[in-house]
Amino acid sequence: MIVTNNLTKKYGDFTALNNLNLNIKSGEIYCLLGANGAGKSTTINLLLNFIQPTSGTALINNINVIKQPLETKKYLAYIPENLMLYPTLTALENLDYFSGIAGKTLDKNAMETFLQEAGLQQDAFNKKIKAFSKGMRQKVGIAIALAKDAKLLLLDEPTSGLDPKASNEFGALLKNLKQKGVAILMATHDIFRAKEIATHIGIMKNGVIQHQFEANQLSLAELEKHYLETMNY
Amino acid sequence: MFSYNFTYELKLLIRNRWLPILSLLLLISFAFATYNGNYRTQKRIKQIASIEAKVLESDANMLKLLDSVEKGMEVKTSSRRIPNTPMAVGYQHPRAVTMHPNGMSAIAIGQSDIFSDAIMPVTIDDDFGIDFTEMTSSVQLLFGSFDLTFVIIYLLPLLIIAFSYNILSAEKERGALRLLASQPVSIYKWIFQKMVLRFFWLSIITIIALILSFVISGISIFQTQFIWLIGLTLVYSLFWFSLSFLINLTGSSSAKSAAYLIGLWVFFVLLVPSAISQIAHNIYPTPSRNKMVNTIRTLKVDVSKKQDKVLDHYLRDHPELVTEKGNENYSFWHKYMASMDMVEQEINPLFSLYDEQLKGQQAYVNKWIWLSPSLVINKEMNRISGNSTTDYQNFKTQALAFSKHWRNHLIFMLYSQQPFTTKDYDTLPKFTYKPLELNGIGKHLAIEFICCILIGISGVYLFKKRLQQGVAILNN
Amino acid sequence: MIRKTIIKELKEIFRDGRFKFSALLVIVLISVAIVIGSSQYKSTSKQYDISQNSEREVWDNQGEKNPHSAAHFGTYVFKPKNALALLDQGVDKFEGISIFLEAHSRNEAQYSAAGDQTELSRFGELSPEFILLFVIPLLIIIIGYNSFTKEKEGGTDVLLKSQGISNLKLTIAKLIAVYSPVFIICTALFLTAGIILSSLANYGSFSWSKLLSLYTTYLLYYLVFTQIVLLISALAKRSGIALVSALSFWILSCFIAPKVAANIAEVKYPYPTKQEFTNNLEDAKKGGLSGHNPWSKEAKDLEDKLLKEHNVNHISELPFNFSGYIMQKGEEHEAEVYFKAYSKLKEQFSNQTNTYKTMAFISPFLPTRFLSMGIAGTDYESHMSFAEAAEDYRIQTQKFLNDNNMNNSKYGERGYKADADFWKTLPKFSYASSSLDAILQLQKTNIVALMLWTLISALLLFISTKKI
Repeated sequence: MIVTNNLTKKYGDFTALNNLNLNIKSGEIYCLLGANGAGKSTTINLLLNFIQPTSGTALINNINVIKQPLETKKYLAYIPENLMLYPTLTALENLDYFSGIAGKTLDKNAMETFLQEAGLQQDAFNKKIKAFSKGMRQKVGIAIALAKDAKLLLLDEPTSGLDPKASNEFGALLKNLKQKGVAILMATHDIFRAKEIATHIGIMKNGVIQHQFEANQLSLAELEKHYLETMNY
Repeated sequence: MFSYNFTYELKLLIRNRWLPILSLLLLISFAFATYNGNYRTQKRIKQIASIEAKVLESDANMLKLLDSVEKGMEVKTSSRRIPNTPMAVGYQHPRAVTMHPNGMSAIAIGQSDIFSDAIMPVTIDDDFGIDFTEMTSSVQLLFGSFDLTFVIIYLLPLLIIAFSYNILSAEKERGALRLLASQPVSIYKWIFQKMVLRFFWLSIITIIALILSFVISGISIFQTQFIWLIGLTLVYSLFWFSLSFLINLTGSSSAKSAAYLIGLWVFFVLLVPSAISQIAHNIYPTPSRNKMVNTIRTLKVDVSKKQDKVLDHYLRDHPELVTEKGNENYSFWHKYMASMDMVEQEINPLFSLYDEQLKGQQAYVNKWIWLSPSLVINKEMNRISGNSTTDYQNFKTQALAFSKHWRNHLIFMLYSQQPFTTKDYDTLPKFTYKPLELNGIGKHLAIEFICCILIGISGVYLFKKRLQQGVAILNN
Repeated sequence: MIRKTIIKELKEIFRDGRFKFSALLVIVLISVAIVIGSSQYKSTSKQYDISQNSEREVWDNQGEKNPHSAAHFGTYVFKPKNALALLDQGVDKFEGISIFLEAHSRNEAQYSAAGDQTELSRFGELSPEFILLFVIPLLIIIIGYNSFTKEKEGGTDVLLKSQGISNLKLTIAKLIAVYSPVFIICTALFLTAGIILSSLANYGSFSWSKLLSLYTTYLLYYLVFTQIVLLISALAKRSGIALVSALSFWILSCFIAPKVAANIAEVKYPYPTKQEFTNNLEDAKKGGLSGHNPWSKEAKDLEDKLLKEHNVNHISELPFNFSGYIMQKGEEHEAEVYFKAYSKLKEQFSNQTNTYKTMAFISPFLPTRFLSMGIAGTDYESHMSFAEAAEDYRIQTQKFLNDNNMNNSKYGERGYKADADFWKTLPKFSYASSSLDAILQLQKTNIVALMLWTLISALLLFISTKKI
């Protein structure tokens, strides 16, 4: 779903991302681990064409991100670290609006199904977003992704600031999406959650993926050891 | 996308109370402004009516007296006041020289609080004896009126700025922009649609508020000029929306965008007009009026010193007035009118200097008017209302011409030594004001419209550049 | 602690591009305005002297003439320009600058500057008052709108409080910091104006004490604005909202309130139109004595009364010429008619003024506006006092001329002429503007209103910042 080829982003002398080569297939959850400034968010921003690469290419669903950004966005969904929606609109209305501008017209039943699938409680459907917690907003974000029938989900620190219960629920949701064949790229600090849900894990530092594993190749303790070693050397 | 933007933009605008507040503000200010303009117009109409009634009454009186005199009856009036001589008529029974406010007069007070539109020149008034100034409290002149021109030129842009300054920045600051940008829509199209929608709603509210204000004040909306008024207002709003679009696309923070837009407002609405007016006044300075008074005084003294020769000069210039009856019949009036004519001839060049300078100022202003759309709209609204400087200058020219015509008509009778009779009444000149023609508004509107489009395009260009730099969506 | 905070605030202000740009703009505008203003001022007052002398010369050299002919010939008086008009022109440009004084009628001052300019001049001029009244408050907004919100947005407010600075001290420091750039600009401006004015020759009307009062007025005005801008900043959650609210206040008090006040005043206490006013005067004059109509009933009554008084049978036996006497009595009647008409006008104006005073409590601009032009001697009251002085002089002149006629001509004499030297004995017209004390007395309500604005805005600021 995602193929990057020597993707590089430089800000003057500073290299934020250096020759990144990623290949994430449908049904995979790829977790990018790393400290702040390692290049995780840069990767996601490049894939969203929020910024443009200095060199290299990125393909989403075999479409070039730089040349046809709007085309690629038909297949992806993105949940930023702090997902913000329209506070005076209800959950249903936000879902309707965002699906609508993406070109999907949905009836009320379908939207309710998506919200339910995303784990939002029934009584919150018609409440205005301003009363929602971060976890609830993220569920609406997932519903937007579901409604869009996104083949790729880009997540930037989705679990930071969530309480353990909400974080656990969120992990379950992602697994569920994986089952459906969605490719997921998630940038996170949360080693525990990454180990739990990821199919692949990359440890990033200085704009380079230093180590890459399949998640079931190693235990949580080993992962943590690797992570700390990478950070310290 | 458009239908979704349409539905949700409306929902958002109603839920955050923007639309109700905006409607209320616009309606109140438009209605109050129209009321004020109409108050002034009605006052002027009343004044003109009372003058015309006064003339009718005095004419009826004159005809009655003439009738009695012609029938040989005795009249109780002092001999000077009997209207059987041309000079008595010219002095005591002036015509009403008036400029009726037009149907759109209420939209701009213009210069109508400085200049009078109803005068009654008598034969002994020379050009500088006729006072065209209106009586208005100078504090009111200083503060200006809360009329539609003020509301549209000053306040409407501010409402538009408050209504649209943070369309993009608010999304960015709240964080919703990232989610939007991950959708398959282009952001400037999205902002453009939002702008268009806001412009659409504002236009609807403006038109309704204007119609309501006119109806409340009892002014007809079925006039071509009313359509022009709406056209001017909408194009002017569009200008501010396009500026706001541009500033939005620069991607500044809300506070910065607001500051930039207010800066533009100060520039276009306050600084450019006052600078142009100041420069026009410096290039075409008004000669000292005190000096003019001095000159006229000295001249009058000179003329009165050669009083005996004045009449000879006058008759040399006007051979048509010389009668066969001989010169010995020339009275006080003959001499008076002759010396007046002489003073006038001498002073006219000096006097017309003021009009020349004013015309120069006006021409200069017209040349630079394109520096600010506020100036264009101000000019057009004043023109539509018929209360601009040019309109009053036009009235003044026509009134002075009539005054001269009136005087000459009676002087001719004076020299032909004929008494004034009832028959002569019908031949007395009458004044009708010919208003200036109203053309070119459409052209000016089109130019403004093109400016708006250019601003919009430069906004898109700027945004694309920022997209490439990667600073458009992320916080910088 | 306060000192540290002030320094930090000032650093932030002076490093801000918007402040640099707008302060520079204000300084450039002020310089342009002062240069234009003072050169206009110089030429106007020079012309004033020339005109005054030239007119007097015309009067003095009338030669042998009948005094009543001279009365009709009349004379002009010119309005002197006040020194402080350099800083605030007030209503000057809407008022005439010369008054024609003649027999039988009181004329309005003629030739206002506004009448000779395009409608664009109504938009405003690049004059010092425009900058003092409108632009500097805007500068205050630009400096101060985010004073508190930037701390909230940057999260530094919590940090500041954890360091133990009290809200009161923080507020005082911010107030001083925001106020000081404006204070410096204002002080520099008034100092420059003072130096220019005191260095100009024949600036008799300039007084430092008036300049100082004007300076104080503006300092208070800016203090009010600073306090309100800070108050808004303290109450607002975000800088954008603080800025928009502060600007709304500015527009409301400087642009909308004066116009609304003017329209309300006009609707409640309308001025007569020019025609109405003159028609009423004519009607009132008709019903009374006229020097040119000795056949009227009023004239006969006067004649009878006079004959009885002097115990003679015919007016030819009176010790003075009756025609001169009746001319003077007619003049007195007409002057009375004018006095009544103008008193009514004045009453209407003072009603309007009261409307403005009531509105002063919704806009600090209004009391400042009136106080400023009051002190500068360019308000309507000053114009009125000049017009009244001119009218007194006119009445005095008419008496001077009629007395000559009455005492020197004989009954039935038609060709009487006064000596060529006689005209020089007429005292010269002189007019001095009001003293500062008198002005301040007149402006009491406005002074109180401005003080109240200062106090209440300070109070609100300190109360609202108590619990941020």
